[in-house]
Amino acid sequence: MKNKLSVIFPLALIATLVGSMQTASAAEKNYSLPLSKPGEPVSIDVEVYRGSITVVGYKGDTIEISAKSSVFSGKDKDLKKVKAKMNKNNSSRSTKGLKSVKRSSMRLEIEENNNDVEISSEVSNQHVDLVIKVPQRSSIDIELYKGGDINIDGISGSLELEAYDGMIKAKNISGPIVAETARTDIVVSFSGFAKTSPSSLTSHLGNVDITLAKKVAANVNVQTYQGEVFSGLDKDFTVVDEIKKNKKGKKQKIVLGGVMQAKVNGGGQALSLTSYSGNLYIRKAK
Amino acid sequence: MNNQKIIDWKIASLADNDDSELSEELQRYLAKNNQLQEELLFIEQFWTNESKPLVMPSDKLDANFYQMLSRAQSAEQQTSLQQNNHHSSVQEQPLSLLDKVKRWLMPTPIAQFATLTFVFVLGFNLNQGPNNDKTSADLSVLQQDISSLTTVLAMSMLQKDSASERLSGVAYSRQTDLSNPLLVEQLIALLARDKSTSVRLAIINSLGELKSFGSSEQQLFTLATKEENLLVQIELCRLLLNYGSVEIKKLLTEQVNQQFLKPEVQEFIKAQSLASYI
Repeated sequence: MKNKLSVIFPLALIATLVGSMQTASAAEKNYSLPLSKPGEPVSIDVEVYRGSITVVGYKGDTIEISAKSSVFSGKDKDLKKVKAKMNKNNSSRSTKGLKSVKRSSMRLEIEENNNDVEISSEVSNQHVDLVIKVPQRSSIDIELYKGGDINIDGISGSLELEAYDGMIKAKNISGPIVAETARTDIVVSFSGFAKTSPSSLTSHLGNVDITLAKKVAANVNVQTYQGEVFSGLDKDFTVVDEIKKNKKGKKQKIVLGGVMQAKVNGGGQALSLTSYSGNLYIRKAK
Repeated sequence: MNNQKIIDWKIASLADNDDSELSEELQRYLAKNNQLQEELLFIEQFWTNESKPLVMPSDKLDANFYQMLSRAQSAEQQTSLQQNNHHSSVQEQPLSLLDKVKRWLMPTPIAQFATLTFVFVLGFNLNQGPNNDKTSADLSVLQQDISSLTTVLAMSMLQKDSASERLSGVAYSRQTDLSNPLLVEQLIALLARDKSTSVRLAIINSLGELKSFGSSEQQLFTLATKEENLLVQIELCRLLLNYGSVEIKKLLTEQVNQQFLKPEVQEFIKAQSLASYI
């Protein structure tokens, strides 16, 4: 669903970055990317195969990227499978008289077109730690497949975050946010809550832990199948949906995994928290 | 009446047809009317922004939109008729309004909103004419074609790149009675392929609003049995157990008995079955 961006300017930028990074012995690089349209909406799309991603909102109008990379030397089932297959096909190749050349360079692609910024590192044996400073108003879309966590701080735009291996931690945000992890926790602290679109946090096997600022008004929906719900809200959670399905007019029993809702500060836009086996924690900021 | 005057003024000012200010009397009226202020905000957002409006339209605004669509359609038909008289006798297959709306929704969001804005402008300009029986008939046909403006917005939002906007589309869908088969079709297609679990769970939740699954039931059953995402599979099974036909429930039970489903899903269905006996 992502739009492919124009290639004229971005290609020049990719070439510059890859070239300069490959000559560096220490795989560390800082880059400042000016926006085509300062002051206008910004969209940041980050896709990293292995590593960690930190995005911090600030009052400036450029994208500041700091990247550290290292060769991945740990165990990885997917990588081992690929290597095993490759070795099987190439077992007859001799390395006698040759020495192994280790990759010490970084491969990171950055594209910008009309304030749409794409940052990607899809090399499987490279671990990249990215710290990106962006205008606070930016909309962020991040996919991280392996390695560390996604950290977000001080973003007022919309957030779409997916981490397959690591945690998602976001603070000082107002959403809307849609976040998903497989086995790890999602921890989000809301300083406000956007009315524009619903928000939803889903961890298949991990916990979801949110903290709401006092002024936040929202309909908080919770659903966990084998976990528990812990709430520090003044409002109680009540079952939604199921009651109307009762044909006899008696109060229906709460079925396993049913959606429950609490209207915080009179209610507002939906904020859904879902997990299969993790716990859900809803806290009120002090 | 004041409501309509103010809405007309807002549309005219957005369309650059009128840069006059509201009279003091209407300004005072507007200041006291929160609902109307929200409607004006809705119109402005719908008009000027690529993103969705912040507030839902009221029934009255919805009805006004239909009148505008109706008149726009009449005008378009008249224009086509005149063009046909001037040009060849070969006629294209006429498109229903719904087909036109679908076609409008295909291009980029900017084009969608530009087109819908055009309909607003055209509708507004033609809104000055007297009512007649034909308009009422058109209106009735239109109301059969599209259940509400909300449906159009929902269909538009469901095609967005952003998961949170697609969630909005699902929320809009819930505001309708899901009587539009195209919207249901679009929801089920999205349920089958969307990469966001949140969006898929929200769609399943919305499908519970359907009066009957009809021909979609078998499709939902196939999705439920082949689904790899545990959360989605459980919710699909819950949907079919709560609202499906007796036959589908039997088929699901067979899947459990023959251990074709994930152990967690089997456990869930058994627990649901036990709960229904209590």
